[in-house]
Order: sequence, then C-alpha cells, then structure tokens
Amino acid sequence: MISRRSTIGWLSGLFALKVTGVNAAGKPGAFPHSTGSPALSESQVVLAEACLATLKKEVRRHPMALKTTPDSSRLTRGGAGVGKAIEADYRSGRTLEVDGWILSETEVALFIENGLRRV
Amino acid sequence: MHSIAKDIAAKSSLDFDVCIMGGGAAGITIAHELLGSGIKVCVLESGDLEFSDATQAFYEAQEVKKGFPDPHWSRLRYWGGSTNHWEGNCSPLSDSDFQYRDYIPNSGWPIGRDDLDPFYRRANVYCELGEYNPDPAYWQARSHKATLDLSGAQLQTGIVKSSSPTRFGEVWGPALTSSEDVTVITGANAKTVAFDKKTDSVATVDIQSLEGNQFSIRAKKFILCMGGIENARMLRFWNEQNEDRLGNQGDCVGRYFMDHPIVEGAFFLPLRPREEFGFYKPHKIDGQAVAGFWELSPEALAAHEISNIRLPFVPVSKLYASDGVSSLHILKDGEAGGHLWRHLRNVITDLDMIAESGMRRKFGREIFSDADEFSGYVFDTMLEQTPDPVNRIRLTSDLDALGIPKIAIDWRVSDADKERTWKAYEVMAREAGRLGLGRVRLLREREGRMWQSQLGFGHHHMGTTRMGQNPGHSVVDANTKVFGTRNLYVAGSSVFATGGHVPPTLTLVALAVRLSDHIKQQFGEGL
Repeated sequence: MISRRSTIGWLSGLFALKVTGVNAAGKPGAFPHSTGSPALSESQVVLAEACLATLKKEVRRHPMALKTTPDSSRLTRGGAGVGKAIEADYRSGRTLEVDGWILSETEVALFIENGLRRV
Repeated sequence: MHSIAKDIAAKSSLDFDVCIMGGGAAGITIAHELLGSGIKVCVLESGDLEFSDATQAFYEAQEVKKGFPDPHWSRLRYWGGSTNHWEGNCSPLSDSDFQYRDYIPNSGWPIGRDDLDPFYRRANVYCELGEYNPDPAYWQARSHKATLDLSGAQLQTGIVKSSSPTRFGEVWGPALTSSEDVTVITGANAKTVAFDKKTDSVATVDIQSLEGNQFSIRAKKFILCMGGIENARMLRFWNEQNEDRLGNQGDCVGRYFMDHPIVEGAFFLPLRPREEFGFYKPHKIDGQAVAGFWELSPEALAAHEISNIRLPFVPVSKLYASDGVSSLHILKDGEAGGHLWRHLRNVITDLDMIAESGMRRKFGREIFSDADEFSGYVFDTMLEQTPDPVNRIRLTSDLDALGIPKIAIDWRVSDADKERTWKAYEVMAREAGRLGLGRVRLLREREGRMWQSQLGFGHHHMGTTRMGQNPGHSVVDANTKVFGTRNLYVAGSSVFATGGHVPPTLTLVALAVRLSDHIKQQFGEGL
C-alpha cells in the first residue's frame, strides 16, 4: 500500500525529471529519465514504478476516466489551469507512454493521485 | 470498332499510329482522349469484354513472398481491368509527395503537383467524381456534417471522394468500340516486341490469342498500360531479349515495387461528442460520397521526418476494441513476441469481453448488451512505403501458356517505415491531446501481428517502372517515355516515383490524360 503523502513526495521528483517514456514492462530499475536530471533515490524509483504500475491498471480498468479532466490545480505548472498545463505538455512533448496511452505529464500525475486514492 | 484476336488473319500485320497495350483505367483513358484527334488508335486487351478464368490465369505468380497478397486475384484481366472491382476511392497526391525528402531514400518526382493539377481536373471526370476541388476546406464548408478546427495544428484534414465506382470498360468503353478511329482488339496478348537498335524504336509488337492465332501490330508509338505488376513483367521480359535497352540501363525495371500497407496501430478515445467527428464519416455532398481523414501537415512530416500517413476514423464497439480478445488471438497464434506478459494481463483483465466474444462465436448469444456500444475509433491507417530496390517483381524460369516467364514478388515493410509509422502515431497523439480532441493508445503489443497476419493492403501496385531524371535510377522520363527508346511509353501507377498515402487511380488517370496531350502534341508537330 502506498500512502498519498509519499505520492505527493515523489510527484515533485517526477516533475523534476525530464521523463521521456515509460518502460513497457515497468520492470524495477527501468524507470527512464533523461541524462542531466537529478537522480532519484532508489526508494523513489521503486515508488515511481509502483505508482505507474497502479496507473496502468487504472487506465486499463477505466479508460473512460481519460475523458474527464481531474479537478485539481495543485499540480499545475506556474499557476496555470489544469487544461492549459496539459495542453502545454502535449505542445512541448512532455508526454509519457503509459500502457500505450500517450498522456501528458500533468495528466499522469493527476491520474496517479486519483488512482491511488482508490488503492 | 471491336475485333477479336482469334478472328484476325494469321501472320498479318496491322498498322496504327498509336498502339495501347492494356484496356484498364490508363489505356481506356488515353484512347478516349485521342478520340477525334485524327490519330488512328489500337487498344489491345488480353481478356474479353467479360471475365474468364482462362485469361485470369495469366496473372498467376510463381512465387510470392509470404505475407503479400496473391496478385492473381488483386487484379482483373479483362476489358476495364482492375476498375472492375475497385472501391472507387480518389484523392490527389499532395505537394510533398512529389518532392525530394532527404529522410526518405529514393523520393522525389521529376514533376510537381502543379504540373499535374490541370490533369487532375480532367481525371476527375473520368472517375465520375462530380465537382473538382482539391481543397478539403471547400468540402468541409459545403458539408452539413460538423467538422473539427485543426487550424495551426500539425494535423490536418484530408478528403477522399468516392467514385460510383466507375467501371472504365462499361462507362468509357462503348465510345471506343463504336468509334471508327479506334480498334479495340480483345483476346490479344502482347508477347514480344521487335526493337530496332538503329532507331531505338519499337517497330512491332507480336500478338497471340489464347487459341494460338498470331499476328503483329505496327505503330508509330506504343504505350504499355498493363498495370503496376504486368508493366514491369513485360518490360523486363522484352529487356532480356534486347540487351537491357528498354529502360533497364540501371536495372530498375521491376524494382522499387510499392503497395500501401494498411495497419490498425492506434486506438482513439474521443473527448468530444461523436457528432463533432461527423465529417470523417462517409456522407454525401451533391450525391457524391465524401469522407474526411486525418493526415499530418507537410511541416510536421518534414520536422519529424515521417512518411505520409492517412488516418481514417473507423468507429468500433467495446467488443471490437477489447485488448483481451485481441491478445487471446495473438497468444493462440504464437505472435506475442516480446509482449507475452502484457498479453496475459490483457486477457486476465478483459475476461468479460472474451466471454462475450466466445458466446457470440460459439452459440450466437449475447451476454453483455453494452459490448456493442461505441467505445472509440481505430485508424485504418494507410502508409506511404519508401521506394526500396529490394522490393521487386522478378521473372522466373516457369512459363505461362504463352511462353512468358511467370513472376516472383519480393516485398517487405522496412524497419525504417515501421519506425516512421509509430513516430507518426505519436505526433498525432500529442496533437489530438493538445487540441483536447481525444487520447490515443498505441497498440504496440500488437506489433508482430500488425505487420504480419493482420497487415492489410491497398492492392495498389506502384513504382516498378518509376519516373525519374536519368536511366541510372529510373525507367521512364518526365513524359513517361522509356529511357533508351524513342517511341515506347508507360502509363499507370508503375511510373510513380513514390506512392503517397492515398489510392493511386486518380493520379494514374491524370498522368494518362497528360500523356495523351503529349502524344497529340507530338503528332501535331509531325512527330
């Protein structure tokens, strides 16, 4: 079980990274990040992978959830609204591939949070 | 006038100004364009006015690379050719299709879209497409269906207009068979040519009927219009007898063979009401079928170094879109590749749809009524294939009933083209996300199956006598005249240097109209 508090902690780490993709198999140690980014601690990597695995399950079980924009402003960039942050992600290529879905980093973060609420 | 090959006097020689070899879309168009010009034309058609198994058998190949559809049935060998079973979908090639792109080897035509524009308008008439306007925005404005605003995006809307579909033999043939200027000879198989090395000209073509009657045709100009595979087969055969003088100086005849691979590699979950995608569903404008599709803008193609790609929306139900059902088939067929665990997960998490599928198939009964509900779209994605000399039509040692070598087909989709496809999907997915239109799932775990057993084809045979600027890398020049000859031309999709992402018929008919003008001009100038 992963606590929501921990989630928020690693989310900030996630955004510090320039994440370019997610290993399809989601294997431990395979969490990708571009060179030059601050390294995650071992525990953060394990945590991030666990969260993404949860997200994959969520997306698979509830793909229609992608139809709704999560109601949250806490995780947006520079105070912009969620919609604008998501759009900016897509525009600049800040996207992740989660279970094949091409999603913005902000969306991923929000879905992880929402998904974990149900864990 | 209509003659039958078996009834023509044996060993006779008939004289014409122009001999068109092949009575399909290209051949019939050229003959029709030459009507009333005073030019005496002969059209040779191997088949009859109706289908026959005996003639169709000439299309049997000896060897076809696994995965490529047997060309015996993708073409039709009788009056009207393959227009007797085409779907009628027409779109012009785009500007960028004609251009040299340094990231696509062997790309670039010696002519541009501007050169072909006036002829597209005339080709539109032959394909019975109603009003001609190549601008998708025009049709979006005229449609009563809602459409999406993609202005400024890396995505844009393209359109396909559908012909009735026009059966060229039925629609345009009677004007030829009833004309005194044109002689249509059915049952006439072009077999060999007499090539005069002193004048670099084809003097005669020898004909043989299925029954064995032989005669010859003498003409000032000959035009090969037998289709994307057969043009290469015959030209290759004639080159074997003439020291590679007929456009094969660079060993290009038969090479650069292209089709339009069709894959379903992405699922689209719309975030907008389905009605807003109405323009992308086939509908009628002035009684003419029109449908929009997505494509990437020329800027996006260049920036991301992607081949052209056509993305038509196909609505699918929850059952059809089920990953579990798909994965079950993939596992059963041993095509999981490196995605075994993912497929197992798909099966486990999608047991309800698997049960539904099983019940429907085995017992014809339904469990979940919501399985038929709309779940999103897949893209029946038509891909531009990179011209590659290893993809080719070869001659084999096995001969058909006329003594002409049967063909072998080498064809594959390169890894680079596969990579470009995924890249195109990603660009499309990001744009769809940015515009808030929907979210896209790349069906990567289906990759093995996607490029093999589930690979679809346009059955558009292109590139085997490609157009270019020099005989080292191509077979015909910008006027589609065969390099090394003074009077032999090729018409049809075999002259395409690249295939684009749309069906080829409208373009090959436009090129045929253009060639007709060239021929008329030459006769007007006294050759």
